[in-house]
Amino acid sequence: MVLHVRNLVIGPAHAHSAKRRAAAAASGAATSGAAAPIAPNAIVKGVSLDIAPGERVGLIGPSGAGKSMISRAILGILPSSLESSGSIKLGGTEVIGAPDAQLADLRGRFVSAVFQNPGSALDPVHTIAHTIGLPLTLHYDVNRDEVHDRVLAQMDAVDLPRSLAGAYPHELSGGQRQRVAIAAALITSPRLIIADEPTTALDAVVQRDVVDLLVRLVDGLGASLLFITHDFVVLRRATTRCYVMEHGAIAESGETEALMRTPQTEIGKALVNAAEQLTLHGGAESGDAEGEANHE
Amino acid sequence: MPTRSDVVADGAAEKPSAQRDAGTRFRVPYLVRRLAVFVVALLVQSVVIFAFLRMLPGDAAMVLGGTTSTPEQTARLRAHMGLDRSYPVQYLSWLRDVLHGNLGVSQLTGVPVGSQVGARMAVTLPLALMGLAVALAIGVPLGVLAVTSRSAHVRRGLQIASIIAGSIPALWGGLLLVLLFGRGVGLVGVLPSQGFPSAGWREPGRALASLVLPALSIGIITGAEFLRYVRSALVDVSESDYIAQAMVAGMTRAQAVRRVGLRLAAPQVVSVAGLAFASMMTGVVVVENLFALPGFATLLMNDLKGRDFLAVQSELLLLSALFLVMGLVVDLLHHALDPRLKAAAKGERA
Repeated sequence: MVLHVRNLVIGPAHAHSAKRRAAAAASGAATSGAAAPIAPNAIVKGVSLDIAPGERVGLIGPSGAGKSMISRAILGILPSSLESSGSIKLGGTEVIGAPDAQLADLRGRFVSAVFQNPGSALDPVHTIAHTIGLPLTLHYDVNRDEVHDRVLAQMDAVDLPRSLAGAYPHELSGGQRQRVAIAAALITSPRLIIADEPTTALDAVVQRDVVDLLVRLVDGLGASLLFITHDFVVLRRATTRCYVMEHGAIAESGETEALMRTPQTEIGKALVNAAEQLTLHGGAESGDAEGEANHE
Repeated sequence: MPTRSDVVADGAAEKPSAQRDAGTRFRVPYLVRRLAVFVVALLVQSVVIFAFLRMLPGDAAMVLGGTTSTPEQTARLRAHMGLDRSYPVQYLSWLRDVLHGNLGVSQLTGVPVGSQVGARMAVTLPLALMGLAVALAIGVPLGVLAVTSRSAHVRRGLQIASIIAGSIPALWGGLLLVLLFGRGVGLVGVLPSQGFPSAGWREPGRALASLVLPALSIGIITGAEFLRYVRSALVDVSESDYIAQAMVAGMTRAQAVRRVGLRLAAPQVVSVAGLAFASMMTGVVVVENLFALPGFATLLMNDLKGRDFLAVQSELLLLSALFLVMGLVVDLLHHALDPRLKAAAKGERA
């Protein structure tokens, strides 16, 4: 498995959490994946999920369901106010309780991510060439010319004009920024890419192109994808299997197409109905490439 | 590698031509606009300084005449010093001299104000620069540590230490340093604690040594304030997606805060450092007195006590110019540190 999550609980960090973690680690409970008591104010309540090599899996649910916190826990970048327990195995490495230096070695090399709003994530004081090449320079001993060549090749791969290499994020459109984020996420050919609502901030036509681009590149690499969204239309385009979340727990899971045809839970039905009623996305399905040019 | 002009050209091509024309036709370089504001602000400040000083009771003639001179003698002295002229005439005369680089002559000592200020600035300016260097050397690394340390005790300890150190009065802190390190009186008496060499910077080693304790006195206190500012700015940015993105690329949280967070917080730190430096120029008066340094702040206080308004107004105008220059430098640094501001400036022009 590329990703193996068991009984993941995410909740507010306590003042004495360090002591509790140490005690849990001593007893083996923190990382064994054994079910622990779940606090009522937990954001994620005992989630388990798996992603096989080359698989594209979705995580769908309404806002506040805890989807983004799961992605951050997998990456080991939870806010300091939150803590996680249970087990997250990336490749063969246990994430929970691992030192940050060990996780940093996995991030950008084994696992990478694309966030919802690249406008507030891409380093605003560096050029996009620097941002795209950063994972490469952090993980590999490469000279500037090699980085430069790889960055330009990556820009070609995500359909960004090479003339934008010296541009700053604020000089680009939303779609172009998301392409920069995708280029940066894939430059080291990671085994797992987490896309946390990467299309939410984009209009319908650009959404479709970004999803198609992401799927094409991930499949080309033979990598796995965890696609997080609240929109089944986008999810169907991006994934083959999915988990439906509500109130911090998995409500149901299955093949994306099958689940869209016959959702078993109330939240599954509500999300499918919402997708069917969104006529805007009908336009996205029938849009053409010209649309993005207009928006960019 | 494509050039920046390629990018700008791409962007310009998307803009309607009428808007582009309007943007270029009245384009005034940012620096020119900023300098124009500088000149206007300095002129306004010269009026304010002149007017407020004239509201103070007494003048140099009364001080020089003392308590024994008759009103007639004081009036003659006043006429001799040109103080009997109307205020607008005095102001314009002073302004004309200043524009010609002449800051006037002290009405009390007869020494040109320019040379007096120059001699005193040779003490105060290096003192303020050293104080700023000490403050930055303390405040920035400890501010980063206060956010990135894995130990809650270290984070909390630094927070408490910054509050305590920032609350120490400069006089008390200076005295403590003298008692610890002052030559002849301190526990480890290795540094001079009184006066400045009469040969000034012709004896650089002694001059520098005489400024170490005063610089530490103001630097440690200001450094504690910097620590709080840096910590606060980094706490805000450390939970942002900028840090998350840097961590996703492969940085640890501490690396991301140091390399990305500190860079993003730099404009705020530069603003605080600029303001601190400007306020140090006058705020060092206590420290100058404690360490018997012939500095600018002491000169200003003495001239004010002597009602030497011509000297005081020129000195205050120089200080105002210094504050404005610091503002200008901070502004230009902001533009250098944050490419988004350049775009905003272009947008304003367009």
